Amino acid sequence: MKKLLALLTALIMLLSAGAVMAEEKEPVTIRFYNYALSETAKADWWKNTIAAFEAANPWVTVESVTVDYNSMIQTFTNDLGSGLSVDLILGEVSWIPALVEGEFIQQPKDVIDPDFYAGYYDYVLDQMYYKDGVYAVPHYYTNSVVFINKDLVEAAGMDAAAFPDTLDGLKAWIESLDAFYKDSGKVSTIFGLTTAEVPATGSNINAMFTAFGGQLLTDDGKLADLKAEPNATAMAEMLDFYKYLIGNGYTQENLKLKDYRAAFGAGNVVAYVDSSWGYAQIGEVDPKAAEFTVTSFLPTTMGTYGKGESLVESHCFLIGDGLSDGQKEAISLFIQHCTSTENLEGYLNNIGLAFVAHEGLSGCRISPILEGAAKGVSHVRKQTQIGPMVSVQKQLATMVLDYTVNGASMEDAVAGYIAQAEYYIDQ
Amino acid sequence: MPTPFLSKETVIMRSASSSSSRRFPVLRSSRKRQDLLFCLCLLLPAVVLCTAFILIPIIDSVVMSFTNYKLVNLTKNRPGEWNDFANYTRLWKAGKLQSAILITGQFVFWTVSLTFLVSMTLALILNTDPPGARFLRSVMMIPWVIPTVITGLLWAWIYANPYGLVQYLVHLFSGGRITDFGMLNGKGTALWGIILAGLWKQVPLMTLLLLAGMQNVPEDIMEAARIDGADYFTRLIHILIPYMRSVIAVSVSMCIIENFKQYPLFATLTNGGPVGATTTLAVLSYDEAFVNNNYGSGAAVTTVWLLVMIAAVAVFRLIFQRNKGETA
Amino acid sequence: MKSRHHAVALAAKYLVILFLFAFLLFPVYWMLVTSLKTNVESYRIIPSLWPEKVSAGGYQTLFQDGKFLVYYGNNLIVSALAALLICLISIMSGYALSRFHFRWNVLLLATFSFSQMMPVISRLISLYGILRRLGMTDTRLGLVLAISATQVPFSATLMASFFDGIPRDLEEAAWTDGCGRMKTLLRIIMPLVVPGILAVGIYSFLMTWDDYLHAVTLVRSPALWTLSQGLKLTYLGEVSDWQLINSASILGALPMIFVFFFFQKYMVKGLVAGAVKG
Repeated sequence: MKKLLALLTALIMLLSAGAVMAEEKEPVTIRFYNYALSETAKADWWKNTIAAFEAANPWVTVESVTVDYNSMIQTFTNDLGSGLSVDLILGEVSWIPALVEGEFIQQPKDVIDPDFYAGYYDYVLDQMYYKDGVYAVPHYYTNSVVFINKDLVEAAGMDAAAFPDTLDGLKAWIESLDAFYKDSGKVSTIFGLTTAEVPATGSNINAMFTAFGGQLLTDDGKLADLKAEPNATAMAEMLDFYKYLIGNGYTQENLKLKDYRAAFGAGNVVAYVDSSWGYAQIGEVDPKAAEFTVTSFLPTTMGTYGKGESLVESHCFLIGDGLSDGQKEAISLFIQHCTSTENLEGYLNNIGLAFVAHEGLSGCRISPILEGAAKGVSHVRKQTQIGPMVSVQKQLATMVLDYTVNGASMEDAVAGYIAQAEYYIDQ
Repeated sequence: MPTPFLSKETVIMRSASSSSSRRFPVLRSSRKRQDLLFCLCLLLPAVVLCTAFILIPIIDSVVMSFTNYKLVNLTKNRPGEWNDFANYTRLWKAGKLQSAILITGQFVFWTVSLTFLVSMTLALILNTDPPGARFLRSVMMIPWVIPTVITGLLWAWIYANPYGLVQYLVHLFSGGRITDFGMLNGKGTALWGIILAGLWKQVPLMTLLLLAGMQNVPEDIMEAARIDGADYFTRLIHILIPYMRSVIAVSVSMCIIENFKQYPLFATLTNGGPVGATTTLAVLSYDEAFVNNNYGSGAAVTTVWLLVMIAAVAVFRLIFQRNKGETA
Repeated sequence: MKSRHHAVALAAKYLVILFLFAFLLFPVYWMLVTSLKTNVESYRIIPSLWPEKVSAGGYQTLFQDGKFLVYYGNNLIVSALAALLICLISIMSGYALSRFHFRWNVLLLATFSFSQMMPVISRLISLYGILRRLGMTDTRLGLVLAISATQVPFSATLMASFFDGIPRDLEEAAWTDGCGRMKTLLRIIMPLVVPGILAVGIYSFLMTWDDYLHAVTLVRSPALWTLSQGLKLTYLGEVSDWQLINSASILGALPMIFVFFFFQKYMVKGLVAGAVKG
């Protein structure tokens, strides 16, 4: 059945391509800004995918431009200023506000084929909402994934598949593993949570806050009242959990995700929380890491209000403003081409592990490593995007460090956070 | 590396040296006009370049600091909306300016005074011509020629937690009690980590300059004082240092400015963290302008930054001038 | 008694030398050693002073992926062009400042010296705007002009101090012989200040090689990235491959070390002339 479906899809695509050719399309060029081109594996995948697309649609030329994460705003400003168009961008959700504010991008619903657009999972699209609409479509996405070293868990006489389902269960799980590995000098981290003051950590902590039942931002893009329930309890329980982990040495303070990835790959970490595509770096350290890596979702009972929900992170397509009709059609086709099982399956299994965000991909095989986490995959909560998202989230790490390491009281740490977050939001 | 600058003294010395050599023939007015023209032509490229790339941007930035200037102003070339001191008050109310000024001050004070102390010590020793002094004098300069970003990477590795050298040394000297010392991870130690890296990079140049200054100290006066029974430190304070006054003035003010402007070390080592403990004015202005895309606010920080720096250099000069008066 | 005192002082002196030079040089050694260790060996709790198994893997990767060499080449081009431009401009303006004493020269110098104190970051936004209007963002030329501007005031005074050392009688003789002003400068005076030109050129080269902020703001195509920019953006991203980072650092630092050792006579003389004697 699946194969038949795939065949049918391919046939339809072929036919539509044929129809397009028959009309003798005006040739168009899409300037495609892609931030994934600096990594070889991803760059190769994009090169092949684009070549296949251009072969099927000879009237379209896709011109790839590398854009660096740290200088993307300058890049777009610069290119638009010098008369180059920015037609399509592969970026991150957090880029949306800045790009909307800079009047770079438009809503995909006006560009992408309506039938295809309808196929995106709503709970993923919801995360790309800013101000007045959805400003990006996902290529694929991830929620918070717990990476677990199966060998280390089993060596301690425990079942790696039985990851605890409650916060108390998780603590017991951590403590028994710690008791086993305490004096071995082999394991540096029992349960790793990142607390470095970088953007990736900020969104990771925000997801933990969500898992504890909190909601950082209101739907209209303001800072939620962190002193009202359930936020106050969620915040208190989350901070105490971080203090518990850091204070007991189950996790280190101020480490970045990349540090945990490297250490996990080296076999020094029992478990840690990351995005699904963090596996790429684990595999870089030890190509055979797949043999000992399993995943899970967060416990579904996290404290008083927490249901273990998390936030969506996504690599997504952002569509440039001021396109011609031909370019719109070409971009619609190109996105569909990139978001097809045929093309994406290999990527999701070998290059960047992630979950699919479109019902047309429901037949797509997901990496066996993600099997454990997959069950919690739609367990996510919507979050509105705001302009200063990066700074507002990064300050979460500052708050956690203030409370866990620097000896601030919980009231002071949270009050400090509110002051900082409001500073960035009210500008 | 130190950013070259011209001290006020240099400027004054330049004009002084010129008047001493005013042996030019009495200029006739046509010749003078030609001289003026020729001089103008020679100066033109420098003037154009510096006006376009230094002066105009600075004025522009000061103006921008009084406006609401965001991303869209940049992309659509719209001028910012005048908002008086809103950028300044917003930064001040959030406590960001005060904290950044304080941290910048601490960083500059400690880096400059330690650099001066270490360099002076090293220069004094090398000036006694120990065996291999020539060789030492040239290998000493290696840290200075290493690009700042690489300096940052190098020290990031030395401070790395775990696996870093410093962490291991702390582990060793604490008898194994402290096991995961992260120099850059602690609120109290991070700034010192950067100070140490800055010291490493800046000691060589200052040593070199001080050494050169020591060559100007007349040997016979030092010798006479020694015979008169003045001990080493008396000679140091009453003869050597007064003779080196101008070298010290120039090299220390160079060092002050250099450290006020320091950004790459912060960018590679801490990015302003942890908990804002290394957020200097440089880091704050970069964050406001290029991370939060609030260019007006970023410009406000740099304007304050410039004022603070001018004040610091002025205070240093003032203290120096007064001391000069006393010793003279 | 006195000789014992002397011996203690001597011992203290050598101890201080030893300590300070260890502080200055050991990090460089550590960078070299790490670049020759595999990551697995670097990630040991007890670091080894010399790699058990010397591995040039980091260097190999750098040369194979080619990006590093591109950054290197770019930086070489940018710094060399900037050094040339700075030399040219500072010969002209240095000569003017040394030989002609119009009142506004002092004012000019004071303005420049003041403006140089301004932090680079504050200039970046509008600098970017200016270069965009000139169509020079993301070009080598734009970067060269921008970083040259930052060095010109210092270099010009430095050059002027070299010109000051040349007796004026030479020019007067040349003028009496009917030589023009420009010709006098080029034929008679310039050859005499070659050491000064070298000092300015090498100093400018070293300083512009160190630039990071201008490049990061004004240049965005990876094909044009300079070394510091490329190192920071490529190798300090999401990967902590310390062998690679240290290999890149060694390769990035080596040419500067060579340039310095080769020309140190001029450099030192120039710097001392510029900063000490004024």
